[in-house]
Amino acid sequence: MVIGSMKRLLVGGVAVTLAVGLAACGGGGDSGGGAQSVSEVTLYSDNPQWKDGFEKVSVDLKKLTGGTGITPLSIPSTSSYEQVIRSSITTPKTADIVKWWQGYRLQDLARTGSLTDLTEVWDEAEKKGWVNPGLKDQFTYKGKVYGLPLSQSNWVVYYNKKLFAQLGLTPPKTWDEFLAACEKLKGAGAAPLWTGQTDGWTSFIPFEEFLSKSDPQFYQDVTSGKASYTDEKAKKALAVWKEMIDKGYTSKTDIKFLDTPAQLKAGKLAMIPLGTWFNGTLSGAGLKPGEDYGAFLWPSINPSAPKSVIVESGVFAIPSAAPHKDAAIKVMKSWMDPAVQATWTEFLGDTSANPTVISKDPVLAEIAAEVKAMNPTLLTRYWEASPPALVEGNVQDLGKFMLKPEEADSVLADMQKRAETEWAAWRKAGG
Amino acid sequence: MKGAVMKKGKQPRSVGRVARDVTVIGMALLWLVPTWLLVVNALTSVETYTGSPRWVPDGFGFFDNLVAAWDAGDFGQATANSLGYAFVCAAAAVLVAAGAAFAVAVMPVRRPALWFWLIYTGTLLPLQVFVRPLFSASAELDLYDSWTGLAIVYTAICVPFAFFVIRNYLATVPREITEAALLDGASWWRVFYSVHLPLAKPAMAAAFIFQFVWVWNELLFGISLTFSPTARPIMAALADLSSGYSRVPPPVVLAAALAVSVPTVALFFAFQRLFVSSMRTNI
Amino acid sequence: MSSTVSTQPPVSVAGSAAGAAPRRRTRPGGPRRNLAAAAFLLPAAALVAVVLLVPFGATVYRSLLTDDLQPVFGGLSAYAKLLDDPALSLSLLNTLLWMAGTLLLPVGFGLAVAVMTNAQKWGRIARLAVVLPYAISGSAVAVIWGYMLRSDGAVNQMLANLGLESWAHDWLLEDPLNTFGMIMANTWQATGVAVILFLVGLQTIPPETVEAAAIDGADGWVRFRHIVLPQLRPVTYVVVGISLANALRTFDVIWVMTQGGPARTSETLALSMYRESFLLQRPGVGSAIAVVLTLIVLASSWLYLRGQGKAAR
Repeated sequence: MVIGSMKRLLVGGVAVTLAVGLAACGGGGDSGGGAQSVSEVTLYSDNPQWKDGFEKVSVDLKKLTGGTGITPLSIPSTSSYEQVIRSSITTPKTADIVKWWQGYRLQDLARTGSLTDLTEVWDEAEKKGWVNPGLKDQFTYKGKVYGLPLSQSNWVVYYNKKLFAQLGLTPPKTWDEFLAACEKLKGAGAAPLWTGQTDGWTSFIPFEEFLSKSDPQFYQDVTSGKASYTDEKAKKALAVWKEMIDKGYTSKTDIKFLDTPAQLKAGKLAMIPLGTWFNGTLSGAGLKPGEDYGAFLWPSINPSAPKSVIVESGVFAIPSAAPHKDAAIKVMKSWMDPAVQATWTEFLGDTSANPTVISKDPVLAEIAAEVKAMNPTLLTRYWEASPPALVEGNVQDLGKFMLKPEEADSVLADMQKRAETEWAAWRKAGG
Repeated sequence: MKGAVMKKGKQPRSVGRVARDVTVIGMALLWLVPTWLLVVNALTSVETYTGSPRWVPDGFGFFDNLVAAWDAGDFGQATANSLGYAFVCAAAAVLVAAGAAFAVAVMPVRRPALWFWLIYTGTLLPLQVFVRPLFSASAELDLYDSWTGLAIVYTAICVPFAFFVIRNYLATVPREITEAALLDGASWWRVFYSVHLPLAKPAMAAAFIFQFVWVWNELLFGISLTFSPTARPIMAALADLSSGYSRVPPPVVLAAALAVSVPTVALFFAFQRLFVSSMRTNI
Repeated sequence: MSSTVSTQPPVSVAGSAAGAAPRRRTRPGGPRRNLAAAAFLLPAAALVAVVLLVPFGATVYRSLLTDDLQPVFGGLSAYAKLLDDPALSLSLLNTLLWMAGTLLLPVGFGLAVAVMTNAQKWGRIARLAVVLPYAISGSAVAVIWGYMLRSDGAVNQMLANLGLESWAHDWLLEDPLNTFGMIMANTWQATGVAVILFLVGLQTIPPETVEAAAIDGADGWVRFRHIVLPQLRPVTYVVVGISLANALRTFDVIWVMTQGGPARTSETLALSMYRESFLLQRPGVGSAIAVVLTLIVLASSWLYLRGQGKAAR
């Protein structure tokens, strides 16, 4: 936001008087420090619960980088966080490392020129086998890499193991098995599959899964603007969803995802499709991995289609204006080290983007092994797979579909219209 | 005198009175329903929580929930910060606003309507509008993430409402009182301090309570303009628990939200008297 | 404060509270008096101008720029986009619904509670029940009303228990039920403000005026309509002004309960502004919405409050 000098004068005049008087009441911030040996780099995120994890990781990092650790700072609201980062990223007040989102959201930030090029760091890590090469696209803008992965969350279906055992069900391997399981679960009085929309973003989950499990290439095409939302394949995905809604296989859509663990535990809900980062929330609700809950990968709707898994990776990026840029780059070089990743992902309760790090959690280990064996295409989550403004709008339209499934065709038409407008705007701004 | 009045119109009055009493009881009960639900669901323990709200309590997990919340969040310092913000900013705003209200309502200022609208407009603007400008300004003035910076913002936001309430109240004071004091040779400051300020106590009390509660419950600026423990207000600390990443189950969050409301509720209890002190009007 | 009106008959009481003296122009006594007035006004005016009005001015300026990566002057193009977007028209309609709901409900209930709880000894307890919700934070209010209105929530549970399942709805998902539900949630909290303000206003009414009417044989309702209500006019302006401004700015309740959905059907202009500025990164359009919202509130406040100009001094 442009601040005119007039405003600066006014603001300064009044505030300086007060500020001088009470200057001692200032709060914390980063520790600053000279150019030579920096002992702490600041890391901004929107997740306050990561503080302990970063402190643990800092210990490992200090050993590997010769004394530089991480000081975590957080802003608990995602949109306030975004605003603060966007406003401060070109100023020296920004943090040394910034948490962001992958795909087009990273591109959105990178194209303002405010992020440091980390291609070298990535290539080094890839050479050592420390990072999954299939993820590189999601961290790239115009051929350069601008971030390192926070973790690699695979999108799976969490299920109530006890309920499944009671009904003699096992994790479905084919789509027909999946539907049969839904029918049985419905008969037992549980809502088979959670689908929600009152969290503001969760309405894309079934859409991305039904699309990608039918035709992953089409998913990639439609999210990169090369295919149309009104194509038959998109219509088929919504038809599959509508069939599930009509048969009563989906839950009420005003259940927020943070209430699902309790509902799973109480047997009111049988399956929850989310990323493996959800592990922590489930254990927080008192559910034990492998005993109370398990996870399976989505079965293919179209058996002849190549296998795919939707992947979500947070990003750590370094602003170009970072006060301790060199120290931050040093830290990032050691970030993918297996020792660091082991500590970090154990705290996080999620899978590492470093394929050599095996999780101790039974559910995560099982999923990671399945993914390895399957060797699927890794797809970007819908939220990051297209320009942000397009995704935000389409997510609302999908919410409308969830309420009125009979309007599938008009919903798709709206989504396509928006896609045309937003892709044009994105490309105009430099793409 | 009262007795005579009652006897005179007793018969038709009692039906009306019964209707009125019934309405009041009905409204009070209706109003208590959500409060009841809040308390009941905050009492739910994490083990028995089924993901759906309850009407009757099931066990007493309130203190367990509170402990869990206290562990998960960082509430001690934040509470102290918020007490500071709420008292100081509300009091400062009320005093500053009282002065301005006095000037506009009592003193013969040129163009009082202009000043009124200048200050009143502050209440009309959607607050989200200020996040980015205030963030940038505070960063530039080095007031970002400082107690002072947030306090200035809170005080400024509290002024318009207090001004509005006190001004309208002072406008009901008869001119003769002001004129009498002035004729006695008192300066404007004296008139304000000795005559109008005491008279405006109910309005000032109401304004103070509203602004105290507003500052205490404020979230948006708390999370946008501060983040370190020495400056963060309590709702920001609570937001840590209820963010989308939270691993803290909903009953714990609800218990924390209830506990965090205690000071404001206590304030309401304590200040009740100020609104009803001279209620002799039997309507 | 009531010393001057004890000898006047009830009929003219309405006039005294509304301000007896005609508005005067500038008085002689020049600079010193103006300096005194400035000293009283300056702290408030400076704080409000610097912290609130200047950023708002910056917002108005921003609404005239485009949303490109390098914004340029766009004139009223952002405002034109408002007219194009159907979601924003619905948002405007919802905002007007909120305006109507808030004018009728919290103000009406507030007045009723303030007046009716005067007479009983236990009135204080009833009043507390109504006023207490204001002390609870906005997000807690939203959470608990969300609990009530969810499809598996308290309201539907109660309806099922009473055998009235057919009355159960998806309160949060169906439009316009979701907007009405949220207006109720806001009313639950906002009535407390109205009650307190009306109580303060009731204290400005000289009890003699009411008792005089009672002696003359007027019953409760007549006394209320002809004696109490007119004298409450100044405080009614305050209550209406505050309720209106607060309702149109309501954000927390809607954001937590429905996020403006489903499919943006319960969005109001405050949310639309947030969505455009912060979620879609289009601060030009967002600023334009903020300006429009402010104009609506200003216009309705001005329409209502200019009536009190006569009541000022």
